[in-house]
Amino acid sequence: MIEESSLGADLPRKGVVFGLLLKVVVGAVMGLGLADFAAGHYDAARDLRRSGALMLDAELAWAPRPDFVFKNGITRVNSLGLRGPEIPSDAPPTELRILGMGASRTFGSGVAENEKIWSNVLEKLLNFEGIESRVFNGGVNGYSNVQSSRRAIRLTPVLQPDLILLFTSPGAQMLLDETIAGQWAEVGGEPVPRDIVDAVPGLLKPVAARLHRLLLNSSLYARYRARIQADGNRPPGLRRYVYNDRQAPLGGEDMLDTTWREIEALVEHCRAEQIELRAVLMPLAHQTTDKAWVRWIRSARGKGVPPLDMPRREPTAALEAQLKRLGLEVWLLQDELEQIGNDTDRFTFDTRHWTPPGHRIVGTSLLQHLLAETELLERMTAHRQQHPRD
Amino acid sequence: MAFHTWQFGVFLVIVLGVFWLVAAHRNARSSLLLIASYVFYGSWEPWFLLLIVFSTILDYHCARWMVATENPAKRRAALLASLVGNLGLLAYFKYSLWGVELLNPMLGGSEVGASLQRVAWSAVVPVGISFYTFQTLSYTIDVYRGTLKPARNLLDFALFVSFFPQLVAGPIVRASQFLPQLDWTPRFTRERLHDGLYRIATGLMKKALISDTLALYLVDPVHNEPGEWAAWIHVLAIFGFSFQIYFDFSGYTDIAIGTARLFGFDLPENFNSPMQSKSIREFWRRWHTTLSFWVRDYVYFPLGGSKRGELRVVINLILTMVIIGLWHGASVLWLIYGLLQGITMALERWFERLRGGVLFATTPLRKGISWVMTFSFVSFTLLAVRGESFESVYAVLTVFGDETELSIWAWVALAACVLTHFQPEAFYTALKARIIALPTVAHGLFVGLVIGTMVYVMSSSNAFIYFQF
Repeated sequence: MIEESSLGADLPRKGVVFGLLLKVVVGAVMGLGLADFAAGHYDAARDLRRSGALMLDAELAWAPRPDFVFKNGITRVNSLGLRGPEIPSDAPPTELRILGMGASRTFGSGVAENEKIWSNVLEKLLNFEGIESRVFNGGVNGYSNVQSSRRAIRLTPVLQPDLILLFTSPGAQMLLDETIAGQWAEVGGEPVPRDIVDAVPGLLKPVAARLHRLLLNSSLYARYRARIQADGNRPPGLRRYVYNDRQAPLGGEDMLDTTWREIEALVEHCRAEQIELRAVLMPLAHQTTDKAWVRWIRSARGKGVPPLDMPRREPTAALEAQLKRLGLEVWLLQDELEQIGNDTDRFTFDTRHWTPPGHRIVGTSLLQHLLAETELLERMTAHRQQHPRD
Repeated sequence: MAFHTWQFGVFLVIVLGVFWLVAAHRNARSSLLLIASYVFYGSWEPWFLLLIVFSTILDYHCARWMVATENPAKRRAALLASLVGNLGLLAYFKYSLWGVELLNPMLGGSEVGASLQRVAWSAVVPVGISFYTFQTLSYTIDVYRGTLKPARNLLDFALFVSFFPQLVAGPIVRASQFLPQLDWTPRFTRERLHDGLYRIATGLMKKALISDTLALYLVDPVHNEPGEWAAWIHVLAIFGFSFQIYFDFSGYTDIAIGTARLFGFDLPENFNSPMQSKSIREFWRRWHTTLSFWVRDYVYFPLGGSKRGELRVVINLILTMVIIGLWHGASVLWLIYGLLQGITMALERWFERLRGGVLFATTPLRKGISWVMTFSFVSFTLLAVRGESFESVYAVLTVFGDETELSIWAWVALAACVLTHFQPEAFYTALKARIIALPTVAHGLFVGLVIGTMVYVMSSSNAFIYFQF
């Protein structure tokens, strides 16, 4: 409603205007403080911030909380944030160690018992074959290849693995929010998200970094940053993006570049540390049957999905070629995932995450790929005999 | 720089502070608001400013030419220049791609077709172009009709076109509502401040707590993976989207009106509980009213309105609603949307005449039936907005699964929609009066709490839906 004219009326005194505005600002700060206080208590009550399965991580955005036991009382994460038991102190110094890095499928979401997931299946099968080995599960829910690669590099000094398996798919794992993609800056010897310090003049960068760290004590700010650093800024047109050679990821080119850069960094790291590295390439759940593929594209048009005429295996083939260009050997689990996709009732919980029989298919397949590369096994065994762990 | 970002919060505090420092000087405060509006608009894409400046200069001078001459032909030429300039820009940026795709079967493969495709694909729709184009058009048409005096100077007119609180998604303001306020002493009272803050806080709540929660926990999951969800959840999502878009758009309008109030300006209302409507004609009198009334005044009435026989009324209604449909977007879906609205309004009119001019919704039972029919019609036709393509709309209407477990937050948001939208007007008037009487610090506290909750919920990164128009 348009109010009556104030033509000729007196302007209110500046003191009155700014006095009222100041009261608003004071009230707003109090309101924010109250909301932050309530949020902190609510989070604590929900065991999110202080004892949730995941925690904020400056370099990885989020990471598994060490020594965490899930609510079911069965699923355990060890002191290194890996799913499964601790490494025994008397572990043989020459055992073969395999580290699998990936997202929720790799973690084994949906299966409570550690013994029933792919990593344990593979470990048992390898030992049955007479290869003394230990398989670590480094899967983390929602992880992209950028995070998996960074975390693999972080874990290698402690685990001293002989082989790293980077589980990947041509979907969301390829793309991450632009803040992560924009990398981290080092200020005062500590990593700070680049967007925090980039817009600030040089002299003020330490102040901005310190303020950022200070504010991380606030529940609201911590959540805000976690969202920005996780996946909050992915444009809608990329939410159903599938890697392929035909379409550029509109608005997500930087993310894709960062993915390649971080994978290359992992390749270089493994080369320098004499660690073997393989990419385990798995089709997405909706890529496993023609029916699921067409239905998925039809239902998600306009959100970055490939054109309807794209064969469902094309994105996987394109990613395989790209990974090879980056210097990676690739183990393609096409047939295995199609077997799972053709019987989702038996092999999956929710069409995506595997049941124990599904994990057996994956574990068995990985063993076959490993045994097929006899030179790889010989090389790893010989290297470890020459360089036993401390 | 959307309203629900911290960048806008900082921008608003700075501009507001400086505005009240220079408020005593007419040109200084108008210049400040113009610069702030251009900074605000340029924050999307700096080159958008070229378009708004072009429209401003064109329409300002067209209006001046009209009043400078008595010659009807010259006056018509000036109006035509304004119409061609504004509608030409709108057509290029908003409709060229659609037009080229429609022509594709005829031109496909030819060099001309390829060139047109390249030109059309290069057009990016500037934020808010549909809103400010209609605003400037109403100005030149009103000056041409002699119902409005031209703006005193270019500064005033430029501010009318670009005033940042309502620039990107309305309400569509008429020059007769805005220009006089530039001459008035800026109004700042405790009550106006409280009212502005109340509107901003409720707007943020509508957007971040209700609309985005509905999107996150009900509408998006069903539209993203229709094959997973049971049929009745689909129906719930279709109804849910009506509320999502209403709370999104009316939330934006509340923030716009509240922000303008802080600077001493009044903007027109845009909504009047539209989901309570018991007919489609009533719905369009309650929904996005500044657009409905614009099209009524500048399209429906000039076509003859309801004064040239029944057949002509039907044609006028359909044509008017098609224009409203296509104003929202360039696609066959929007065309069908407009057609459906127009045909239904014509049918309602025909049905009413059959009953001797008596409305159907006369008893409580009939009112209930009318409401259910109207709400269902509104919701199902709004699939054109959410569906984006025929395939998506088809999937939502035909592809079902067996998942029925919705998040508790979907139910909470739906309950909030119903509870807040269907209260009688008197309830809100009384509640608002009590809230406005609270101390100023309490209003700040309320805004702070809402912002804090919004950050906590973390579901507010979705852009306002009406920005795309």
